[in-house]
Amino acid sequence: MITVGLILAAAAVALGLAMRTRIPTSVLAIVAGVALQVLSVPVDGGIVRDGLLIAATFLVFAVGAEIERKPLRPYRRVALGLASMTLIATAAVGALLWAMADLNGWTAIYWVTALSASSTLLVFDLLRSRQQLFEPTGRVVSATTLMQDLMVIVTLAVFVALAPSTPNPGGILAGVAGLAVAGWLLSRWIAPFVLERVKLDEEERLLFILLVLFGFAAVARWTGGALVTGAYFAGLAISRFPVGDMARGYLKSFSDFFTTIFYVTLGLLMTAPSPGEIITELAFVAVIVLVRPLLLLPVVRRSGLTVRSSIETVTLLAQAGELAVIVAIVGVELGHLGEATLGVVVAVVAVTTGIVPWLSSDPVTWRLTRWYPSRTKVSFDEAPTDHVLLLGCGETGSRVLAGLRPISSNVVVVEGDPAVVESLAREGVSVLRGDAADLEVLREAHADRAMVIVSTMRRAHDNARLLSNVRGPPIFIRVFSEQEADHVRELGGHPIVEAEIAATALMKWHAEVKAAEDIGGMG
Amino acid sequence: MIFGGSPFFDALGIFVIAAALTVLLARWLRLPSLVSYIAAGLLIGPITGLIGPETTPPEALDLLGEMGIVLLMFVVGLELSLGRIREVGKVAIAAGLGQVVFTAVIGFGLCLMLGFEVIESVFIATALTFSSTAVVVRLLDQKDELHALYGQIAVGIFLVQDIVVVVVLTFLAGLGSQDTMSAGSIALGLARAFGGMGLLLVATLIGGRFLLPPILGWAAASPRTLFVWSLSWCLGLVIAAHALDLSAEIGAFLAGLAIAQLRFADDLRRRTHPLMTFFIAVFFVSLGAQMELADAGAFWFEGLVLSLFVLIGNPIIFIWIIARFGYSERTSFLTSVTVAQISEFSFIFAAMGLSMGLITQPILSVVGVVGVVTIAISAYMILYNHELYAVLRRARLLSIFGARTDEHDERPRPRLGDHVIVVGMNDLGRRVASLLHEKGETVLAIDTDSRKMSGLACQTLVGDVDYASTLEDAGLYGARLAISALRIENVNKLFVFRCRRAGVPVAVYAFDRPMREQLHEVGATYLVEARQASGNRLLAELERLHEVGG
Repeated sequence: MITVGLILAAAAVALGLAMRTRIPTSVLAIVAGVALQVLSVPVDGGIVRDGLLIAATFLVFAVGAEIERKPLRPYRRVALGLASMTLIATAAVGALLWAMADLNGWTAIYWVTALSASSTLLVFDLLRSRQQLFEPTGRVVSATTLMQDLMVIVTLAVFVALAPSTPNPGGILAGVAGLAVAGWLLSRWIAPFVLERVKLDEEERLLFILLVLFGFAAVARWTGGALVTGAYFAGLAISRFPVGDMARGYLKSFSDFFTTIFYVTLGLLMTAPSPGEIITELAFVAVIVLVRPLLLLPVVRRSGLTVRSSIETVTLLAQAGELAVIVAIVGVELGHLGEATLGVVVAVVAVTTGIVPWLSSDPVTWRLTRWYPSRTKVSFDEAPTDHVLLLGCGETGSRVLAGLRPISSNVVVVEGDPAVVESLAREGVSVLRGDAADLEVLREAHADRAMVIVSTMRRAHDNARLLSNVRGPPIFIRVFSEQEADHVRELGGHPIVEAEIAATALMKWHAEVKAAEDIGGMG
Repeated sequence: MIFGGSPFFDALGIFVIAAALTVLLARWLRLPSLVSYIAAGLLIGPITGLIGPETTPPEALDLLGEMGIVLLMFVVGLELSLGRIREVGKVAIAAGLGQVVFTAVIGFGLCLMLGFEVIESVFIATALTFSSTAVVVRLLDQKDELHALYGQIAVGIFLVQDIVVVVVLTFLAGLGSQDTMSAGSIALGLARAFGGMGLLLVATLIGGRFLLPPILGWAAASPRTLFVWSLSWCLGLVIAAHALDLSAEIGAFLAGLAIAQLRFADDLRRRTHPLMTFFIAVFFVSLGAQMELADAGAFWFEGLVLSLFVLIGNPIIFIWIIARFGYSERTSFLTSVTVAQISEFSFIFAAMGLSMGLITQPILSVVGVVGVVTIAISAYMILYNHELYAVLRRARLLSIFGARTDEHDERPRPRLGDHVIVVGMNDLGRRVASLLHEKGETVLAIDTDSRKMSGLACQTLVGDVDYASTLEDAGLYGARLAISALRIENVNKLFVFRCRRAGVPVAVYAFDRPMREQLHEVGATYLVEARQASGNRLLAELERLHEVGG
C-alpha cells in the first residue's frame, strides 16, 4: 500500500504541475517517476512491475476504445496516406542509423515500429480541449492515429510470431485474426445488445466491459500473443457509439487512475541513457518534430483541408505516444531490445509529447500558416476607403459576408488561410491574406479608413490588440462571454455576445415548448 | 510481462472473468452480486482448484482487494455528514459495544453446549461477533441506502467494531507472543490504538476544515487532478492508520469524511465508484477462493446452529438495543438485519489462532461454513429488508421488543421532478439557468467545477454527465427539459442520446457545423446554431449602422 501511495502521490504532483504549466501530464508523470528513483524512495519492485502491467493493459484498452470508427470512414484514404508516410519517414531514419551507427537490425525495426504511432490519448485530450474533435482536423487526426495504432498492434503480433522462442507462430497470427473478427462481432451485435437491450445495472455493465477486456487478453495470452493485442482489440470492440461513449463513463475513472500510474512506474523503471543513446534520441526527436510534418503536409493538403487545418493536423501528429513505449517493453521482454533502448524510447515520447501542445497551438499554427507559399497575390487597385473590413472568414464571417454582398460591394476580407483566400478571390471578393491580428496586415487593409470593422477572431488578446491600435471606425467583435464583452467595451469596441444570443434563442425555444405543453394540457 | 503476462495477471484475469460471468449469469436467479463473487471464488478456489494457495501470488492481488475495501470505505465517508455522525454516534457506540459483549457471551455458551473446548469456544465466539463492513456497505450501496438513517447507524456500528478488532488483535498478539502477556504491554497497545485514533481524528478535522477546501478547491478545475489528489489523500490516511496499528478501513473512512462536507464530494463518489467496483470484486472473489472448507462436512450441524445464531440471534440483540434509544421499530429492524453475518476478519482471526496453535483446522472450517452461510443468506435479508420487515410486522413478531411503531424516523429524500436540467455553467449555462429560474422553473444546474456554480439561485449538482449515475442523481427521467451549454462535442453527443432515451426534449449549444450534424443524427430536439446566430446579429448591427449613416 505504501508503494501505491507513493506512486499516486507522485502522480498527484505531476497532475498539479501539469495544471499550472500546461505541460502534458504524461511527461511530468515520467519525470515524477524518475525523481522517485533518483531520490531512492523505497518502493516494492514487484508491485511496480505488476502495476505497470495492469496500467498498460487499461491504457491500451482506453486507446482502442477512444476512437469511434464509423464517422472516420470518409477519411480512410488520407489516414492511410499519413500513416504510411509516417512509417516511411521513420523507417528512413531507422535505416540510416542501422547503416551508419551499426545498429542491430531488430533494434532498428523496433525503433521504427515504436515511433510510427502518435499518442492517441494526447491527441484526443488536445482536440477535446480545443473543441476540434468533430472538425475535419479532428477527424483526419483521429483516423490517422487509429490507422497507426492498428499498424503497430499487427506489427507487434508479427514480431512476437517471429521471435525464436515462439513455438507456434501460426497460432499467434490466427489469434490476432480471431480477435479482430470477435471484436467486429462484438462491436456490431453483442455489445449493443448487452449494453442497450438487456436491462443491466451499472455494476453489471462495468463487469461486462471488464469481461471483454480480460477475455480478449486471455485469448491473446492463450494463443501465445501479447496481452496488449487483446486489450487493444477489446477496446476497439466497444468503441462504437453509443456503447463506446457509455463505456467512457466507466472507463474514465480507470483511465485517470491507471494512465498516471503507468507513466510514473515507467519513470521508476527508466535507466540513464549513454551519450550514444542521447544522439539517437535527438535524431529521432528531430525527425518526428521537424521532418515528418513537412513530409505529411502535402498528403493532408491533397485531402482538401485548408492550409491552417493541414498544419494543425501534421503538428498534432508530430509525436510518438504510449504505444511506442508498449512496443519497446515487448521488445525488451522478447530479448530483441536492450533495457537502455526502453529508456531512450520513453525519453523520445516525453520530449515529443511535451513539444506538441505548443507546436500545434494557435499562435504557432498561424505563424507557420503565414510561411506557407500561396499562388494568389491580391493587391488593391486603389486603397479602399469607407469599406466594411471583415477580419476572419470562418462560419460567422461567411454568414456576415453572404449577408453583406447583396447590399454592399465595398467589403474587404482579411483571412489567414490560403485555401479560403483563393476561394474568396475566385468569387471576386477583395481579400487580403494574413493574420488579422498583425498590425502590418491591418495597415495594408486600411483599417483606420474603414467604415466599420467586424472581427470574428477567436483569441481575446488579438481583439484587444486590434482595439488598442485602430482608432476611428466602430469595431464589432464577436465574443462568447460577458466577461470578454466587458473587456471589449472598456477598450471602446462593440461586443456581440454569443452566450447572450444563444441564451435568447434557448429561451425562445423554451417558451415555444411551454406553449405547446399548455395547448396540449388544455386539449 | 506485457507480452506474456505474469502469474499476477493470470490470476487477476481468472478472477475478473469468473466474477463477471457468474454475476451476469446469476442475475437471472436474482443472486446478489456479492454472493456471486464469493461463489465465483469458491468455484475457482476450493471447488475446482484452479486457483489455490500455492498458485495465487498473494501480494499484488491482496493489494487490489485491500484497495477495494479502502475505496469502499472512502465512498462511505464521502456519503456522511458531520450532523449525521452526531445524530447516530451514541447509538452506534452503544449498539456496537453491546452487541460485541452479548454475542460473545451467548456465543461462548452455545459453543460449550455444542461440545467445543474452552479456548476453541473463545475463538469461535469472538469470530461470531464481527460483522462484515465490506459486505454490508457494498449491499447498502447497491440499494442506494447508504444515506438512509439505518444505513448510517449500521456504518457507525461497523466502525466501532473495527476499533474493537484493534483491541482484540492487541490481546491476541499478547496471547501469541513468546513472552508472558503483561498488563503493561497490553495497556500500551491499547493506548497506542486509542491515541492513534485520536491523532487520525485530529488530522481529519484539520484536513477537512483548513487544508482540503483550498487545495482540492483549486484542483477541482481539472476533474482528473481532483480525483487523483483525493485518492492520494485517502491513501495517505490509510498509510497513517497502518503506521498507528489501526485498520485501513478507519483511515479510508476518515479520509472520505474530511472531504464529505465539500461541494464536489458527490462527484468524487461517482468517480470512485467504478474503480471501487472492480477492486471490491477482486476482494470478494479472493475471499471465496481462499476459504478453507476442508473439514466442513464433519461439522455441518455445529456450523448450522452457529449460523442460525448469527442470522437470528445477532439481529434480536440489536433490535432490542437500538429500540432502547428511541428509534422506531422499522429503523431498529432494518439496522439489525445488517449484522446477520460474520466478517472476513473472522476468517483472518481464526487463521491467526490456527497459526499460533491455539485452535485446530476443523475450527477454521466451522468458521468458514458459518461465513459462507451467513454472508449468502444475510445478503438476501439486506436486499429484501423492507419486504422482510413488512412480513414480520404483519405477523406481529416485532412487537415484543417494545420499539415505537409510529412514523419513520426520517423523511424520505426529496426527489426532483418536472424540472429543467442545464449542463455546463459557462456564461451561457449560467444565463439560461438564471433566466429559467426567474421564470419559475425548477432548475438543476450541473457542472464538474463547483466554483462555476457559485451565486446561482437554482439547485446545483457537481458532476460529470458522462457518468450515468450523475444523470440518475439529477433525476433525468423525471425532467421536463434538458439543455446543454457545454462546448465538449462527445459529451454533448452522449448527453443528447441519454436524454432522447429518457424521452426528455433536449436543446444543445451547437457551436460549429460538424457538431450539428452529429447532434442531429442522435436526435437533439433543438440546436442553437450559435455561429450563424452571431453572424445574423452582426449583420443586423451593420444594417442598423448603414441606416443611421444613410
